[in-house]
Amino acid sequence: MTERRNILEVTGLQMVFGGLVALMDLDFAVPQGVIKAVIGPNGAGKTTIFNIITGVFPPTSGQIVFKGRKITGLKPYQITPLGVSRTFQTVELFGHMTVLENVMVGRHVRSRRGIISAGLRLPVMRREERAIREQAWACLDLVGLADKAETEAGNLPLGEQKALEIARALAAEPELLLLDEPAAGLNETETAGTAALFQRLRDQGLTILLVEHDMRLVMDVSEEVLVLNYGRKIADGRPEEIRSDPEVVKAYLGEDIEYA
Amino acid sequence: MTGQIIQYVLTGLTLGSVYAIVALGFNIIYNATEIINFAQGEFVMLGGLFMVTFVHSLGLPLPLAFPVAVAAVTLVGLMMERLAIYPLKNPGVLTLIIITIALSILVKGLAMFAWGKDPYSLRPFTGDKPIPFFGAVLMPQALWVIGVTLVLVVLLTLFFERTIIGKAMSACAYDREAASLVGINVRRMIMLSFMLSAALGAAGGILITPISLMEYDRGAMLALKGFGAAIVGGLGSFYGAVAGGFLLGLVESLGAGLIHSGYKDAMALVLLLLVLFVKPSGIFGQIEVSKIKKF
Amino acid sequence: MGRNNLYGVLALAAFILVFPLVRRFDSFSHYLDIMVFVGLTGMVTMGLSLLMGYAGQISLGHAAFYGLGGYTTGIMTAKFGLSPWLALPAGMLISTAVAVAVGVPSLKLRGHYLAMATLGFGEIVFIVFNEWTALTSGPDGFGNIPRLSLWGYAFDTALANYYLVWGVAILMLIFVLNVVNSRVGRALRSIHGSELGAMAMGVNAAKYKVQVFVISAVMAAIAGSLYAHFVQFVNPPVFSLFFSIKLVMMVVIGGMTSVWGALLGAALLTFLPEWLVFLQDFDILAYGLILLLITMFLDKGLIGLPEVLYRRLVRAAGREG
Repeated sequence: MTERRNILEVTGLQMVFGGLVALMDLDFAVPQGVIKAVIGPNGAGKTTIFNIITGVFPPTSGQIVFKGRKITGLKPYQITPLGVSRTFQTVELFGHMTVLENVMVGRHVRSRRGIISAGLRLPVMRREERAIREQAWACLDLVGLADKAETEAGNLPLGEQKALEIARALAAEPELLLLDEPAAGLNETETAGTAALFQRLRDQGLTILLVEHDMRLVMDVSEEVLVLNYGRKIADGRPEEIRSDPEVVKAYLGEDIEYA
Repeated sequence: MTGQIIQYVLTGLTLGSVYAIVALGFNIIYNATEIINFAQGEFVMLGGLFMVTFVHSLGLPLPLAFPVAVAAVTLVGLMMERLAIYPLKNPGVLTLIIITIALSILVKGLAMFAWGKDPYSLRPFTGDKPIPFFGAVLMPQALWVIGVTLVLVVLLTLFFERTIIGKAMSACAYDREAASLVGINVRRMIMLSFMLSAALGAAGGILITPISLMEYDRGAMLALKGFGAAIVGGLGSFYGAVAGGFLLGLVESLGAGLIHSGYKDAMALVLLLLVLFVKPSGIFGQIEVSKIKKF
Repeated sequence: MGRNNLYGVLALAAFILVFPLVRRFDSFSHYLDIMVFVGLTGMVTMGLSLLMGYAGQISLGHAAFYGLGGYTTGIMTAKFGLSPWLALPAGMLISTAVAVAVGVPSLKLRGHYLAMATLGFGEIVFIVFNEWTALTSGPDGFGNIPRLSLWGYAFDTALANYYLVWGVAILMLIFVLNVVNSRVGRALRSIHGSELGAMAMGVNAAKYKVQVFVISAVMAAIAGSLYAHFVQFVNPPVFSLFFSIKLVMMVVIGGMTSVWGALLGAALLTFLPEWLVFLQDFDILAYGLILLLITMFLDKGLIGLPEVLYRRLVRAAGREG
């Protein structure tokens, strides 16, 4: 495998909530242009990592470096413009806005016009609106939701809501995409479609970090897998390696990680 | 001069007690529901006016009229909660604020209907012979106000820390979902919190009427200053409510006496704004708490 | 701004133009005055509805911004003889400064902090109007505020003021509608939908809340200045807490999430005292009751009533069919 630059480096990450140690001494990296999965039993701290990386809250200690730049402690609205975008485990869509409008909000970080030029409807603002709309359509096309553009987001079935969240995250033109359980609640066909989408995105240069429980999806699309248990890293490597790692098997004792 | 300052301090502590009582009422409802009850001041107003009616119009003796008046206002609190809060399914907090504002307007209107616009007075509990105190005078009623407030704080603390119901209400404050999961009837706790707040407010109103009279539209300013006291002390904290109340009362009284009396209301409010802007969690509050609460 | 809104604006403009031509009834001049007040109040409520319906915040002190505009204009023109066209931007600037000072710290926190901060600051401004007698003439207020004049034309009559006020109001309406249908409007609505999702998409909620607060304050200040030039007199009771609460009522009753609702609420609650005259002082009972019922049962306000009725009808038809 060729040497790749790391797009994301996490060092010494520690997260303590009151009396609970959610993450302990975590070090890992995400090479540019790969799909990397984070797996582990429930409560292992996976979503916490996402929340820290995207700035929802700062870690108790540790560093996050994105494209060589320290982003620890920045707020979400400061991190997204740098090229990090995410989806949520419990879908956080704007339910009363249309599908298209949801994706247009995704373009927020790639546009600039403020209240005054909006209120006065200056030509520069109108041009930007047109561009936002076009790019939003493109993202909808990518996930196959173009025909539902005017539907209220809250009225979509779960599978399409998840696709919408991905389209919205893509609208921000990220270089690193964080996906939190994108396949949860999806059936086999939908999951396969999602996997194909990820690979297409990766081939276009996007780096993907995903939290997943669906082992088939993980093994199929990932090039690297990080395994957590009780907030600690217990394995980090290629899918074939971690599948046979005794520590990993022990952590999942009782869970079926055998697959066809 | 020292005598004057001590006088202002005494007045401030008396005023502060009422603000503390209102602040306590705010905290109880806020802790159980995350609602800021803008109608809190009306409980105080109603307490005073009901007491006046029971004592003067119905001729009840003071010790009997007191609990009856408190009970009457508690009933009002119960009705408020059952009629306007309970029926709502999943209200947004903006909606709840507006509802409590509407309730305060409604209650004020009904009070105006029942009692008119004139201020009413009440006989002081143990007479009005002033007690000399280090160059100042202390009204016996003021001792009642301060004393009863401190007793109420102790009782409330015991209630919330030692009794099952009190602990259940505290549980709702920390995490409503967890509380309902362990079998606490959250709806009922909300109802109780309104009743308890109403009773507290009523007591405060009864105590203060002999000193500063009571009229139908006193509620809004009391609510504002009581909320200010709650914020200064740290929203949700009982000791904070008391500390905040006394602090606000002192600032207002000293400000009115030493600087300018016309601006006395403004001074307490400026203190409120300063606290909001510098340390919104208040003296005893914690920043995390104010951020986790949903609104 | 969307075709429906455009039609609405044109319809409103047409109505405003035509209304004075219908001079038939004898209390016409009285109603013309009321319409001016509706326009002035509407300017304030439109800004307030942006704040409440879109930024999800509540201000219980907006009468103070109205007052800051009115008093600044009054003081600068009547007491210091300066030009009204200097006083108007001065009032806007002062309101902006105050809104930033009050809003920046409060809007970082949760919503009821802004509610209380605006309530407190509204009261402080009211007290200052009453107490700073050297500048404001205290509780009695002062008059002699000149009517506005532009390039020699004086807005001397009620009719002239009517057209002036509504001209400005309609321009503000267009501005607000444009904002709602823009990147900023979407950002604001997204905060409502999911603050977590909005933040993740790069929306700086606090910044937008402050901007909306400032804009609503400036709109109120402009309205206040125009008020001073129309009535030619200012005194504190106009800018009291009760007016602030009435403004909130107008927005809620008309419909928080719609700018049209704000105008409807302003019109309704400005005309209501005329119809409730028989209630005298007890009109506050009616206000409280109406506000309570609408908030509890009609959360989109009266402007949402057609939709609610329509849905009921559809459901009823479905059951019988």
